[in-house]
Amino acid sequence: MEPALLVRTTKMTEANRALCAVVAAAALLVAMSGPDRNVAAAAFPTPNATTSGQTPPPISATATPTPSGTLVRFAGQILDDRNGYVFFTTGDAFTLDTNVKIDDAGTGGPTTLVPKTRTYARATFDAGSGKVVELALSRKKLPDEARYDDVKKFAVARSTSAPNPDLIPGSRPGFNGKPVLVTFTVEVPSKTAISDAVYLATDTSGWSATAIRMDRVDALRYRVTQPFSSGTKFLYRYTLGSWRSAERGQNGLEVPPRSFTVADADVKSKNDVVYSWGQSDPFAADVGGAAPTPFNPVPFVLPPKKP
Amino acid sequence: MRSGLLFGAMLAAWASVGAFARASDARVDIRAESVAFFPFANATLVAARGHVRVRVGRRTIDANVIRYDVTANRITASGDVRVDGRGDVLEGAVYRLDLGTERAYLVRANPLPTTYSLEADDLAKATEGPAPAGTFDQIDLDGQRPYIRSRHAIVVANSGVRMTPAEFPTGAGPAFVLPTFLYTLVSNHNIAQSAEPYASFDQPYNLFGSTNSLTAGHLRYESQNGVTLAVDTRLVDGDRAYAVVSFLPLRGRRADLIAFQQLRPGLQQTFGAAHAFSTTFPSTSANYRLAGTNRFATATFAASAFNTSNSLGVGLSSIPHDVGHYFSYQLDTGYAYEHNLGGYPQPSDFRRSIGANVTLPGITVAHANFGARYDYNLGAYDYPHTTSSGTLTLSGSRRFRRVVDLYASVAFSQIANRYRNDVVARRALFLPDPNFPYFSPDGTPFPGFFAYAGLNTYRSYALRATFSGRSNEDRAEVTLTHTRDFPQSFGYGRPPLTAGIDVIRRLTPTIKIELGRSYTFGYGGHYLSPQYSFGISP
Repeated sequence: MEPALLVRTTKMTEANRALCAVVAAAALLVAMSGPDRNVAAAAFPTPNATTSGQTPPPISATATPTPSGTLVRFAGQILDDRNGYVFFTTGDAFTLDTNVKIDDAGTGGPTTLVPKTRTYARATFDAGSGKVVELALSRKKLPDEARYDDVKKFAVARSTSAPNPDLIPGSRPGFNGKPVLVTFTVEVPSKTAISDAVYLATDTSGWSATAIRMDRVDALRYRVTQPFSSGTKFLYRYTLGSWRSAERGQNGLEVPPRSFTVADADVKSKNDVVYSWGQSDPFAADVGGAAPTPFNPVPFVLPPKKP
Repeated sequence: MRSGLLFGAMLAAWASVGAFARASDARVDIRAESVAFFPFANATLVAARGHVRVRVGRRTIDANVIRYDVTANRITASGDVRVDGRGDVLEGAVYRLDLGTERAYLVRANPLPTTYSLEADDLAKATEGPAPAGTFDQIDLDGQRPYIRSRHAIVVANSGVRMTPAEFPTGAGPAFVLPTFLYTLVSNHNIAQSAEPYASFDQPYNLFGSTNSLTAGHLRYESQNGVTLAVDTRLVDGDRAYAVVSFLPLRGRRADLIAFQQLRPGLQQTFGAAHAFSTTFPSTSANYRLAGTNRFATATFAASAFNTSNSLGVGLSSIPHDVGHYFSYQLDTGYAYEHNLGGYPQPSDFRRSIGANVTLPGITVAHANFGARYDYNLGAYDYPHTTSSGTLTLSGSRRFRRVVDLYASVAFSQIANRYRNDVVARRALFLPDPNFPYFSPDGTPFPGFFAYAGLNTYRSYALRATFSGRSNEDRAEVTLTHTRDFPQSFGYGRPPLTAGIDVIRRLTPTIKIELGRSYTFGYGGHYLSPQYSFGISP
């Protein structure tokens, strides 16, 4: 939370207080006059009316306004435009100039895009008036031209500049979310059969026992390389293609899944060891080791003796 | 058949009751012109646009665009937002709600753009002030293909997302459409446990689910029964316990149950049961296993039953121990009681066993990797009979070029069956006289006493070549296996020669196909016995 902004919201001019009181009283009367619980503006705390009294400009205006000061360009993603303001995903609203020009960010010409959610925009501010005089729209993310700090003073409703990337996929605090190639190499028990395929099952693939098939690289090792965004944290287990045959611990017991967090790097590697696999046949004898064979009569019933 | 259908119906009813009992708690109902579902690696997202209406409990949210981050359990609505039903009626440009805390941020556009922080949509207690940066960030989904598209989604956090209808874009043409689809959000790995027998192909279709259960139908292909159906229900309790019940109502009709519980760290018990409704050979089997471990060894108590046969036993095996970098070893021993009602030569027996294995670490010589392992086991029965088995496995692999890998293994196994007193054995066990052997049903003379008097030898030679394409995921594998056993069991043992080929190819970014085909030669009286496997993975 930026202290300057807190101060700003509490320091109001006497004129603004009076205006807000009038607005609040009127809204309260409207709210109390009928059963319809529409937006009760009076119930809100008094808004910060730094630009009170302005008339919202038509959003369709295309005439190029004459700048009254230095131009500052800021790129971001739009949430909405309403009542003469454009709202960015930073949570800020900026005032649109009455003669704001809306064009295509790539060509500079007319555009069919509208400044709504999912649209990227490069807003050109007149540093003198603090209003947006040009809004260049694009379907694709636009490169930054000015820092947020350069334009936040123009915002009507401002956000803090502290990063809060927990809503962005592939990005967690401390990670940049870039794609990372992760190589998993697992050493398997030496009695893993040649015909066995080893798989990587992850929570991000619905724990499918055959989600990611690994390549055998030598007698005891399998390997696979998969792309992940840095900051991705996931759980995984090695299997032979079914959950009954999933990896067991060194003591032969069931083990919780492994965990891996993808760090910021171009490539990462993870080496694991599987000591034993689960039994694919739950009814196989598991005490002692003398498993019956066709030539061991126990516990088979021998065929009748031919007379 | 009737009992099977009744069992399946009870299973489904029980699961659905449980599912909806949980679902009513935190159900998010989303309707829009377009609803898209994105199960990203670390954020599960539902994105809706066009006359979106969201119902969460008593709250209704109308907006042009909705982003529901299911992982974080947050909804961000933007464009002509109207919120009604929970507290006061709210209108604004943007509204973000944290469903876990009921805390919301609202950006009003009228009379002036202002950000408010609210609890339970209560305007009287709302505070004005900027929201934290990034609060209203919209995940960039341009160019991202959703996993499922729909017009109606019901989301229960940590439980599942049901899309109705469900349209799966393939990227390779027309989308695949289902009337409805349930995507489970349960992150517990035990929700994927399975009790059904092995199948070459198994495509699950989730029916009902909750935060700790999932009921699914399965379309399966088994080499023995062909195409068949199955239904199963899985119950989980964290890492502590799970239970899975499955039922195959059509071909190969059977019911299976597996259950697991961790009593405390290092102490686990498992239970399994199965019944096959076969008219020729109906069978019922069950097993129980209790295992406890410390850093030196694992102790096991096990009991099992198969029709009229049953066994009880205890075992002790050491944790694999490394001796420097030279080799590792493991020891085990066991004592068991076996009972086979009406069995021959006698119905009850006690077995003592001891075993060990030694593994050498992989070594590299001339760009080739080699490994070796030796297993030995000795078993002694109460009646004068001793078995011993020793298996030596050698393997080697080499990458010749980037696209060709060769892997070879050789395994020698010898099993000795000896009667400590041949005279007693012949009398007490009624073993066949060498001059008058037993005969198998097809007329093959059963090895009889001769086999037990000496060594049986099993030899396996395997060679696998892997050809990798430019992509890491495209490859073909050819496997050849040759076995030489003595005495040969004439169709009841291992096939002498097997050849197989597997092709793995990624067709689209969302579909990878695996095709397998193998042949066994000279096995079971058939010269050629092809088998197929088929799988699709995302």
